[in-house]
Parts: sequence; structure tokens; C-alpha cells
Amino acid sequence: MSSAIVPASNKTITLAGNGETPATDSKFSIFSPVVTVEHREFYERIVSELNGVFPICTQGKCTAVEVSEDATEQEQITDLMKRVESFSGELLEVTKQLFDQFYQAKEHFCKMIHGTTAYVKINLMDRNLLERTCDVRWWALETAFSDVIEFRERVSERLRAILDGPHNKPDGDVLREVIEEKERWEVNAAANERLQKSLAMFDDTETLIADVRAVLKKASFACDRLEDINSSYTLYRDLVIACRDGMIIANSNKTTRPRVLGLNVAGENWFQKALTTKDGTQYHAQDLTESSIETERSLIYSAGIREQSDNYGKVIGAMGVFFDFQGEAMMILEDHMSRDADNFVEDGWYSFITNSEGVVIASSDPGVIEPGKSAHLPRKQRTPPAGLRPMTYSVIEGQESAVFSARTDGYLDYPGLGWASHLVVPKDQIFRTAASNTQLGISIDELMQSRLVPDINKQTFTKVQDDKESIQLISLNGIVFASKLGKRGVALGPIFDQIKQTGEFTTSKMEYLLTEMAVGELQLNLQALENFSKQAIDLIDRNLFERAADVRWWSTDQYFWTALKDPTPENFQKAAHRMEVINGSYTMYRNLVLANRNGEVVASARSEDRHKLKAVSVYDDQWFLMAMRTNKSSEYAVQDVMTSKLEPRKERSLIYSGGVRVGGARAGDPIGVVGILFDWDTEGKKILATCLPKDRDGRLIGGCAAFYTNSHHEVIETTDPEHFPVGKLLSLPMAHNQLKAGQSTSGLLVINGQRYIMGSSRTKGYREYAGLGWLAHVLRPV
Amino acid sequence: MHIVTFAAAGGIHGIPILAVEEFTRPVPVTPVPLADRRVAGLMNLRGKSGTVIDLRKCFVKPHGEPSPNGKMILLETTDRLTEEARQLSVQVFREPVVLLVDRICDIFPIRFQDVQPRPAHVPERFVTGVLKHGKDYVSLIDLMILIDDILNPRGTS
Repeated sequence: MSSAIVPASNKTITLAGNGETPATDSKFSIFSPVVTVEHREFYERIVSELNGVFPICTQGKCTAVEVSEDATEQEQITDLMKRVESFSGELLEVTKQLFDQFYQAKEHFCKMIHGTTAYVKINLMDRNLLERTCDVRWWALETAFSDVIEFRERVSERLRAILDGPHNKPDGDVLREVIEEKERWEVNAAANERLQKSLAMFDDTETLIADVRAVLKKASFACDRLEDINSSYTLYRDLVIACRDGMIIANSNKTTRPRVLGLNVAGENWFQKALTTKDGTQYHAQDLTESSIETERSLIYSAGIREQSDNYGKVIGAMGVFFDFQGEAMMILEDHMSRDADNFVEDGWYSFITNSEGVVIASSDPGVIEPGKSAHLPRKQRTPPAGLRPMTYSVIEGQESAVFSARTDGYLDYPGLGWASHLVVPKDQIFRTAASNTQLGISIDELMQSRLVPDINKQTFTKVQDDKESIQLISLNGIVFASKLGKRGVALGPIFDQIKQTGEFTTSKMEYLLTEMAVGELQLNLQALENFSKQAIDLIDRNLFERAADVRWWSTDQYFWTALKDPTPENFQKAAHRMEVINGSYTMYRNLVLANRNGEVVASARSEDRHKLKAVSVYDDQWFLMAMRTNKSSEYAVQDVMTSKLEPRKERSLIYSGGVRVGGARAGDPIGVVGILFDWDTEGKKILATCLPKDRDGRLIGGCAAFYTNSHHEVIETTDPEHFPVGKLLSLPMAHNQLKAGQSTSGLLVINGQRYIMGSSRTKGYREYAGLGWLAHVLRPV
Repeated sequence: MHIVTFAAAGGIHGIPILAVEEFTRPVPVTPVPLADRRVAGLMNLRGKSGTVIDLRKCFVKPHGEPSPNGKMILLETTDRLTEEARQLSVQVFREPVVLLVDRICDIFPIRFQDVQPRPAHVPERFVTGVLKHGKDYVSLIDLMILIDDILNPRGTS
């Protein structure tokens, strides 16, 4: 039996030493174009100084022979010279390693920061799209929609019966013409009128005529409801209801309505897929495609409309919602880009999204990276495999650039559409030397010793100082030795002086480089924390936007206004049941309550708390008072995180509320209020946990914390209840406190005697949701 | 005369360069039982052995913290002094002695007229004078007084 002999030489020497980049092809070369001019000069000076030591040592050895005939003395001098040579040789090696580490560390860190940014962008998109899938399923079960479709079908059947029945009226042909002509009587008032007139020729058609008229009314009501939805959720360009035969009977977009109503979408994929859904929990997400409904390419979510609006009813039609993908994508793409003083995106920075085929579907600069075309990237990066975040260097618009990519991994139960986000950063910006004139607020020594500087750099730092010391000791001993030779030693003096100077020069340059590295590392760390805090505030803003949308829409629900208008126990029961259904479909709420105009809770979602809440008056509560003051259904109110008597056992509640109006009217004084209790602790914590910094191996870094503070600097949710508990008042540096909406900053600070670096971002809201003035903070101990 | 300066106990001190045999990084020291508290122990470097005196402990009120990577100064012995050193009346101990200091600073020539007497507030008898070098005050140490006091206590020699 023979076993393979592992050759001893298969151990590759990694200069970078961070253990993950293969050393073979990433060995440092001073000729690499990424090396800055300063550094190349720096490197050349160090190398030439060190190389200069060798002739000096040779000269020293010769001088030894000249000044002394004593063999022991000669040997001592020669020995010193040899030691100097060996240390100089080592320093040459260390210098190379140092530059290698310097550039690899920078590249790695940038990869991490920009790779994360690319990922955050696609993740934001996915989270948004997930919410859309909930929306469409929920709305498709609205009674107004099943009602119009079912009613229209019944009327159509009766019309067909007349046509097919025995009749000899000459008007039968007119009738057929009206029913089958392109201008649909269901949605077109003139056509409807004509149909009514021709029906009048027949006997016993009075009720049918009324019903024909009623279809138009019901379709118009469906349009109203769609408009209501869209004024609550502003992310859609259009929402449409299609009958089983594919005819669009209602839409939300008034501008396109004359063209869209009556269109037939029977041949469109989103419609066909919606018809095949098995029950109310299913939906179809249609990747960007052409649709007759819109002129732009559309991203469509669709679900089946079911008989009686029952979750398990037969499919009788489809709802399609046309997400404002281009608008949303623009918002996401323009974020996290380096900007100049005038707030323009800096040259050479691009951000774009590709679909599963690697075709650009949205671009921050359509003039350069053109939507509709295949992205100019290596194949593996154009459609990157899930979970990987590849990076390549490429020339974009004549500029050497780094392209960072991240593919969607979906979000929760939403698998995503196989899209990828790409971020283009000019290459020279990655290797740009850290500005050294910035106020750091930390001494270099402290920084070098801190946890921010990777061990490998610390080791090099120690090694450089060690070598510096060795050379210093050797030259000092040389001088001592020379001085003892008296006059004979005079010739040796300058040689040791020269060695000492060279040693000091090179090592101090290297120390400088190391501190530059440490400063760079610090700055990149600060930037990473800033990005994380921005991510934390963006995610919560987007989440809360959805809550503000939900409450506006639910406030128009007929069960609620019916119960308030006609307060019978039965109606309250129905309202409560409706709330229970809503609460069952949305996991992010703890409870929903309906209060009448006197502030009495008359219905709530959680049956176990219902009798307790009946005794509660919310008349003095902010969420109630503010919602009672609204006078449009497009308005809502929110009560910032605080205690609430609706949940006495919870420390803090976050309540969104909207005014309920009779008939779900769009304007007018409310007759009561719907309040929704957001599951703040859980959702806030969940988001914060995703915004904690990780090390190079993807592990969480110990001692880091992320938390939100409200406008009074009070911690309202935290990942670190020990050091930053909820309720703690923080005194933050001015730069953090005075952030304006949408701004971010970072810096060093001491809290509880521990020094941290911290990134903070102030909410800028999202779309028409203004935010509550909160800040997100992410901290890392130094 | 050239002196070598070094940092210890929070101050800068100087001794004649001709009294020095070699500078080294610290080598392991074997503690000596019942020795003077200023004696760190015995060391051995390439066959040379010597008594290590922790200079910091020789000061009444040392400042700051001792350096984690101090240096050793191996002193000459009386018999190995060069002719020049004898002429300049450099004095060293008869046996090998090593000084443990924080850091070696510099080597430079001094003129005797620049040396001022020990200020009244300095209690250490082994400091025989001070002089200004750059921005530092260098206290000159008389090695015989220092070592005698530790290794030759009065009455036993």
C-alpha cells in the first residue's frame, strides 16, 4: 500500500496573511497600477536606503582590517557588520510585506463595504417586493371586487339568454352589436346607455336594465376602492381588476383609465397565472415585462379574485398591481453613492440592477449603463450565484473601476426574482491614501493597540519596531567599540553613524506607513458603521411607511364605519372579527383597536383582551386625538414609542392610527379611530441585528451594539440591553445630535468609560412617510 | 569625553561611553535570594555573567512606569578599562555589573565646564552633576558610588 507523499513545498507563503486570499496571484508588486505615486516613491526611498547599507558594511569590514591588526577586534567589527546586513535584508522583506498588507487590507475592506452596499440595495428591493406580495393577496379579497365581477357575470348571462332566446325583434342585432362591440358597456357610460335603450325594446327587461346600469356603478365603485388603496400605498402606478375573460373592469389610475378600462389581458402571463392560483394565499410575481396596461415595462404582482371574496372560493377574475419599479429602483440606486459638494453623484460611480439573464433593468445613469442591454461584466458577475458577492476590476467608460455585485437571496418567504445589484466605484478611490490631516480623536499608539487594527498589522508594527531597535543597538555597540579603539576607531565612527541614520530613517518611514494603515483602517471602519446606521434607519423607515399605508387603508374598511355608524353588538362583533382576520394575516401587529368618537374601545383583534379593553378610555391618548383631527383618508397619525394603557404589560408601544369616516369617505370628520399596535420590540430588534458589523470571516464582532434613539436622545430599541438599555438617555456628540434628516456621521466617543467608534444616521422618511426624527446608531468598541 | 545617555525611572541619565562594554536587549535574570532589593539578579550573556542592578529601584521617587522592553548596559570591569579611560579617570567595578534601564538614548561628547553640580532637591548621592542636552536634563551618574552602595555595603568591604 502506498500513500501519497505530500510535497513539503506545497506550503505557499502568504504575504497578506489574512488567510483567505490566495497568495499565488495576489503577491504584491510595486509596479501594480493601484500603488499611489507617494507610496512608490516611499518604497523606493526605503529600498535604496537599505540597499545603501550593504556597501557601508563592506566598507566597515575593510576599515576593520585597516584599523586593527588584532584578529579578535577585526572579527568583532566584521560580526557587527554582518548583523547589520542581515537586519537590513529583513527590513527589505518587511517593507514588501508591509505594502502588500497595506493594499490587500484596503482592497479587502473596500470589498466588504461596497459589497455590503450592493447587497443592501438588492435586499431593500426584495423587502419591498415581499411587502407587495402581501398587499396583492390581501386586496384581491376585497368584497367590492368580487362583487362587481360576479354581478357583471350574472347580468351578462341574462343578456346572453335574451340574445340566444327565441325573439324576433329587429333590435336583437343592435343588442348583439352593443354587447360585442369594442366599447364595453360595463365600463363605458355611452355604450351602457345604448345597451339600456336597446334592451328597452324587449319585454320584461326593467330589472335587467337597472342591473346593467348597476354594473357601471359597481365598476366605478371598484375604481374608487382601487384609488383608495393607491392613495394609501403610493408605490403603485396602477392597480387593475380583470374579469375571468380578461376584460379590465376597474383600475386606479385616472389618467390612463379611458384607455385601460375594457382592455383585454387574457393573453398576458400575469393574468393567466393569477387564474391558476389555488387559494387566497397564492400570488404571482411577474418579472419586468411588456403589458398592454402600461407603456413602460411593468413589474406586476397578481392574485386571483375569488367568489364571495372567500379565501378558498373559485377564481372569478384577477387583480394585477403595477409596482412603480423604476421609481423605487431610482431611489435605491441613487442612495449610498459618493457625492460631491453640490450633492451630485461623483464621476465614475454607478449603480445598476440586472435581471436573472444579466440584462440591465434599472440604472443610476441610463446614459452610460443602458437598461435593456446585457451588462458589460464577466458572466459570473453578470448573473452571480446566490450568496456570493463577487468583485472584479473592469474598465467602465474608460475608467479603471471596481465592480461589486450581490445577488438577491430573497427575504423571508419571498424568493426574489434572481436579480443582482452592481455598484461601480473608480479604482483609484479604493486605494486613495487616507487623509492624514483629519482630527482622529485618538492617539496613534492607542489606535495601533486597538481592536480595530488587525493582528497581522500589529505583528508587522512590532516587527518593525524590533528591527529598528536591533539596528539601533548594533550601531550603538559599534560606536562604543570604535570609541575604545581610540584614534584607530575614528574611521569607524562615521560608518556606524550612517548605519544608525539609515535604520532610523527606514524604520520611521515604515512606522509612518503603518500608522497611515491604521488611520485608513479607522476611517474605513467609521464609514462602515455609518453605512450600517444608515441601513438601520432606512429599513425601519420603509417598514413604518408600510404601517402608515396599512392604517390608512384599513380605516376605510366598511366593517369599521358600519359598526361606528350603527353601533349594535352584532356590528361590533363583525368589526372585531374583521380585525382578527387582519391581525392573523399581518404578523407585525400585536393588536388592532377600533375606538368610537368618545374614545371608548368598541372592538379589537385579540379576543382574549377584548373585555379588558372595553373598560379603557383612549380619549386622552395622542394617537386617538391626532387621528380624530385628520380630515382626509390619506392622512394618518402616529404616537411615538411610549407606554400605552392598551398594552399595560408592554414597556413600550408604537401606535399608528387613522380616522374612520362614514362610507369610507375620502374626506370629512372622523366618527372614530382605528389604531394599530406595531410589534415594535420584535421588528426593531430584528432590523438592528442585521446591521451589526462583522469581521472578515463574517462573524459578529464582540462588543458591538446597534440601537435607535428618539428625538429626545432616549434609547428606544437596542441589541445591547446591558450597556444601552431601552429608556437610557444618551448624551451624544454635537455632530451626531445635530444631524439633519437623511444625514449620517461617524466619530469616536467614550460611553461608560469604554471608547467606541460610532456611526449615526437620522431618519429621512420614505416617500410621503416623514419619519419620527429618530436616529440609528451602530457602535464598535475600540 | 563621550557619554551615553539612557532613560530610567522617568529621567535621562548619562555615563561615560568608555565605561560601557555592550548594549543588549534584556536577557533572563536569575534572582538572588537575600540580595539588595535593587539587585534584579544574575544574568548570563554569551558566557559573560554579571550582577543586574535595576536602576529604577535606585531612585527614591521614580517617575512613570518601567518600559516593557527595557535595555541592559553591560559595564566594563576595572581590569578591562582602556588606557584612555584610565587617563580620563573613568571608574568601574571590579566585577561585571549590568544596568537595567528603559531605553538607550544617545551618544555625544560633553565638556566639563557644561556640567553643573547636583541640585539640592536631588537626594541620590550617585548623581554627581547635571547638564543640559537639547531639551533634556541629563544627570551624570558616578558608577562607583552607585555600585559600591549596593554591592559593597559599608563595613563589609
